Amino acid sequence: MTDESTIVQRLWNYCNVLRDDGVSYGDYVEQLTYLLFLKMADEQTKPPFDKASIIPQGMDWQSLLSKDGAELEIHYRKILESLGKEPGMLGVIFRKSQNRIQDPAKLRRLVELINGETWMGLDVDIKGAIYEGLLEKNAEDVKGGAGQYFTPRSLIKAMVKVIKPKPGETIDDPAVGTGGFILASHDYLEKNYNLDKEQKKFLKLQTFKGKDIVDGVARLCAMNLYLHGIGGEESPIDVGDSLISDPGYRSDIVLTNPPFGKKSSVTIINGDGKADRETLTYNRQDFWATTSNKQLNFLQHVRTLLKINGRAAIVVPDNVLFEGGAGETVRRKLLQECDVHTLLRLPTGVFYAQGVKANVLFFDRKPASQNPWTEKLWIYDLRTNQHFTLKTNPLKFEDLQDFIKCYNPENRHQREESERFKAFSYDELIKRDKASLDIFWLKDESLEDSENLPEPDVLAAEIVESLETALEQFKSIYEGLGKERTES
Amino acid sequence: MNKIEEKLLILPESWTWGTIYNIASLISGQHILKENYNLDALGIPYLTGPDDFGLKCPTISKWTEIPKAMAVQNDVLITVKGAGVGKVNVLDITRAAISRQLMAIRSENVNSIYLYYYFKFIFSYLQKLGAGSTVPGIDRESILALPVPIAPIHEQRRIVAKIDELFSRLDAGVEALQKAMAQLKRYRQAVLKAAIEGRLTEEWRKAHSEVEPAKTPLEQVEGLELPHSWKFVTLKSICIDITDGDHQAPPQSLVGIPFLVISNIRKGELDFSKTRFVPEEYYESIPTKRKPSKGDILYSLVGSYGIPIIVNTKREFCFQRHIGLIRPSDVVDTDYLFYFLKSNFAFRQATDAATGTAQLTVPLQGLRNFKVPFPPLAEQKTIVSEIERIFSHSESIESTCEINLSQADRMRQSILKRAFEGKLVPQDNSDEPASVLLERIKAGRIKDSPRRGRKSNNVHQMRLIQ
Repeated sequence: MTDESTIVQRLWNYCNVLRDDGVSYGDYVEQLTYLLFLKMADEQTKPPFDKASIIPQGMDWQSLLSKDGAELEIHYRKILESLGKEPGMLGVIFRKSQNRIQDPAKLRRLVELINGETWMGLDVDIKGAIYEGLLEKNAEDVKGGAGQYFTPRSLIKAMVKVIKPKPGETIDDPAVGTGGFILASHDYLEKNYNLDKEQKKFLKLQTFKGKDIVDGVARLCAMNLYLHGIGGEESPIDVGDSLISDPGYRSDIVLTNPPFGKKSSVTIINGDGKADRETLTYNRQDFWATTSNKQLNFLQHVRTLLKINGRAAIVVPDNVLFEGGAGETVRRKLLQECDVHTLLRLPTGVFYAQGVKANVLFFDRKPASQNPWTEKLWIYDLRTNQHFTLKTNPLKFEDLQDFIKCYNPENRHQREESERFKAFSYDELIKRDKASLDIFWLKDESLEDSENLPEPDVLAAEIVESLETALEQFKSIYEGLGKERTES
Repeated sequence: MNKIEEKLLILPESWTWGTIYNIASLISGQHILKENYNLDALGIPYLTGPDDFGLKCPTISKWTEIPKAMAVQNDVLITVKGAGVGKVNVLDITRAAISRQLMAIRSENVNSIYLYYYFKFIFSYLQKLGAGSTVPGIDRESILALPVPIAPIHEQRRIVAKIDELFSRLDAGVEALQKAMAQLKRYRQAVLKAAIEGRLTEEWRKAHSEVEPAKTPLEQVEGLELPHSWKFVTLKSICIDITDGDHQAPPQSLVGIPFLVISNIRKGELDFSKTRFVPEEYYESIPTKRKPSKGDILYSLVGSYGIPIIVNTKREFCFQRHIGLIRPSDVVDTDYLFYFLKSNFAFRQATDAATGTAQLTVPLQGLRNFKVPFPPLAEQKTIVSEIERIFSHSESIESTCEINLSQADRMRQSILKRAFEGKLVPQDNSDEPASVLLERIKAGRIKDSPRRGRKSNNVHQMRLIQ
């Protein structure tokens, strides 16, 4: 049996070989997904598992192994196509799959590489780490644009830590991407609790749900989870548009980072609103406001997904905090009907999307009541005078330690203000113009007329950020104008 | 009433034209004598004019216990007299008394924010209305006759929400641009600091290590650490002369040689557009060391002190005593010296040397003793070219920002125009047409006394300013 680290290395190296052949990281990860899955399914039919094969005969790993040259490539394509039509986990993994490795010799080489290892025997962590590593590399590949599916792991870890999942609770991510929140929650539960057999089973099969609108991403997610020991024959991952309708089920916890960007082919309307005759519309009676703003819609959707007294942490861009119109309606309703208790203002240079200014909003869903549920919103400013970059100075878990300490997950009703952590009362918030939650109090050193002049390159980076913010806002206005334009 | 020929506004079918008279009541403000209002929050808030206006809603600074004309919550307040004619606000408190400068427009059947945005849209038209008449200001008749494009009631709300949404993004974009411009100023200062500390030419020094090393430096000047091949020198040691303008006020003439004062150099360049003049004979009599020549540097010494200007012209001129003249010797690059004088480090020295209470004055002696970080001449030239390369980029970004800021202004107006042409949000067939709404309003007004002015209920197209 080959050394674990060697196989990792080989997979990485082969990745680069194929890259030169025009197979991007994204393509590579996909093909790896298919082949690995077939191999692992094959291993499960042998000792010590001796299970019945979940793969239809003639479409399995053995059938691939026996072939070569053009025949191999043809058969591989056949497998992909037919498995894509199967239900359950198989379908999620193989749906709409395509072969991207045109050269049969290279395909053969990859098959041999994977065949040379027993994957079921490999530590779950290793498998998971390899896969995650490839996903991360994929995210860095800016051309592919895959970065939008990848939330920095340090941020996820911090969010899970303060949300504090407990065994037996259900956790949902309606914009699951590659499954980062699910994995981190799984990890948290395994490490912090001594789970009995029942709890372990619940953790593996019933705790998690995730949905993503993009086939390819859902596939990666399902595989990612599978390699980490989450999910069985049925995949916990669903493919589809979360915003279309209320799925009906409710969860204890929602952790999610909805995609940035405005492109939406659909305008969601609420009960009062009227249909736009030209676009497809979906009725969400449970929504407070009609808007085409995807992030505002996700916020409303997340609230629907929660059980009463359920808790959520959602990454939202600045727009959600200050935008007028529907944004104001949603904020006022949210403050009233839910306990919106914490807001983390994230620094720039944390996400793969350029110029994005984002935050994490924490709130609990509450039962109906006359009185507003939000008493105080605690805001942590991790943005002012903080500079991170994706490569040279990435956001680490340590950078979030102070936030976690201030959040005080043991008892969030016993918090103390500090330089970066301040509380704002409900009355203060609703008095603000448009009930905007876009609040800062720290002095921005890049603007201060102090003796402490930052280095030119730091200031240059700040200028770029300001320009990118301006650009993003103006772009969103053009999009907002264009969409609503009627033919005259 | 003055009619200004402009573009026509064509409305969608479900909309209709109305006038203020049709859709609202108009309350004229009334003046309250000074002894009858207070600043102590006694009584009812009293708004005197647009100075009390905020971004959208007024701020209260006066109160009265004897209110006369009253506005109530949701009234659109419009300035009808004085400098701010045409400015509008919406009243967000229960009630307030209003002065003669203001009028309150109270519409029950047309969304007041919708109306508020409409007034913002026709602001320049209102301004012109106010300027045109013999008695400056807009009278009741003109307000009542103002045509208003009326959308179906639900659509009005949708329009308001959409404008709110777009304007909030616009505001955020503008704020970001203004922030970028402020940061650019700081950036330029940071670059100058790096320049005179030798950090822009680190690579250059490595490549030119044959340049002679330091002579003994002056005492370490606070905060500045120089590379070994540099030294601190006094300004006087690297200049031929440092003087200022004639201490006697020179004779003035209508023509002759331009005489520059601080306002002609405040922008950082020589501004000959509006100068005083002195007679030729006087100019001839000025000693050479006080006559500016190309390659000299002017430096303001009084009031807005610390502004350096390079004399880059052969044109003859002289200047007042509040301005200093620095004539660099050929051991120093003029542009390097200029950039040094622009830096915070130089400005701090000017501030430290400045005396006086009414107007701060930098004495010549202080200027002559400025400590200048002094690199070898070749390095000075390299530093200058680096600074200029970087500055040209930052200048182009700054002018882009300025262009975008004015575009943002036009975008605001364009959004409003779209809104009131019915093109901002889609129409909805199931909305009740606005003409029906208008009929209902008219039917509801049974007992109104006849008003002076236009009562026309006909739909008509208004010529509006874009």
